[in-house]
Amino acid sequence: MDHLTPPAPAWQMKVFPLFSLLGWVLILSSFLIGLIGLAPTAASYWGGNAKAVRDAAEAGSALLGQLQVLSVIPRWLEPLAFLGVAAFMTGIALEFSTIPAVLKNRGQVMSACFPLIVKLGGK
Amino acid sequence: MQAMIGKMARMYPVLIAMGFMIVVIALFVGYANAQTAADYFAHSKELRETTLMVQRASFEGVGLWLPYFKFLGLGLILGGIVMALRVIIDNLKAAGNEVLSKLPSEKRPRSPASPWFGPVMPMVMMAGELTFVVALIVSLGLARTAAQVFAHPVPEIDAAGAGTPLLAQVQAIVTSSAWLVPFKFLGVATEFLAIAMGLATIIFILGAQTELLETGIRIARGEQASARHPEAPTHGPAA
Repeated sequence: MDHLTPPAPAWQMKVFPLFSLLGWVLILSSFLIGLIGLAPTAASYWGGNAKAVRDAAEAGSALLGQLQVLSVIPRWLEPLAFLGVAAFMTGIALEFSTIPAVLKNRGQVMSACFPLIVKLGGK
Repeated sequence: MQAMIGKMARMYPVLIAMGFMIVVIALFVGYANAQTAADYFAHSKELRETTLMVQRASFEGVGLWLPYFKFLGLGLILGGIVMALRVIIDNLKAAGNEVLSKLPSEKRPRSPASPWFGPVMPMVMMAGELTFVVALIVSLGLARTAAQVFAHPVPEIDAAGAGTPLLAQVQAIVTSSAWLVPFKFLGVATEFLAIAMGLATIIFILGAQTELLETGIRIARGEQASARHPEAPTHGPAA
């Protein structure tokens, strides 16, 4: 083996940072929605009203709007965070998928090495 | 600092075992909590809401901190994986340096510098662990508040008006839970980021070492050629 051809740059190594970034953005977004959106709404809904007032809220009232927000957003917020986790895991899987090609190339280089080692060792 | 982290990283099985134990303990606590809830809901609504406050306070409180305890366990396992990656990185570097040391010093190629994210990886992992610990501490505080709230009969809690301490406590529990649930995923994201950094470092080192081996082959071939033809240059391109 006279010529060693290095492996082509793996596309996965270019794509995995995008998945990591996507995961980070999705999870950070879900945290910020919880912190900036849900928490103040919950504070306002639960802090200023007794149960009787909350139960008596009419359709279209601000109080019922807050209850709607508190009931609706958590139903998609957690799946969004899980999507972020999935994006991270996909990125990690892509990184793993590049390792076989790297090891294959390493094997080729080693197989080129050994005849030289044998020749040099014979001197 | 990096040497100390390298030594600590070798204890990664302890981290993984601790994480697994925490998750197993969480299962038993969850099962015991379920029995408390089963006992509570076996009674009539009137009895539940006016008399069985201790049971209610118990399972509501445990329900608040247990998810964060489980995530701390998962975080420790992920941290163990990060540390295992660090051990692989250290071993790869040590093996590479040992191989390079066999070459004559004047012909020894320079080891490539580690990518910037390699040394940062353990710090990112620790930041993730800190997130889980903070989430658990906050949730324990919320569980304590919940125990105080549910020590009151449910009609009393329902009657609590604006400005009462009881409603303020309910407000604290619901408000904190709103951001605490996604906060724990921030810890998971940080751990995954550390794992991605570790893997990228390993792939970089494997690639760089293969390139160094190729350089070594070129040097060796050059030596063979110069031994046959002493006038030929020592550093020739690959044949």
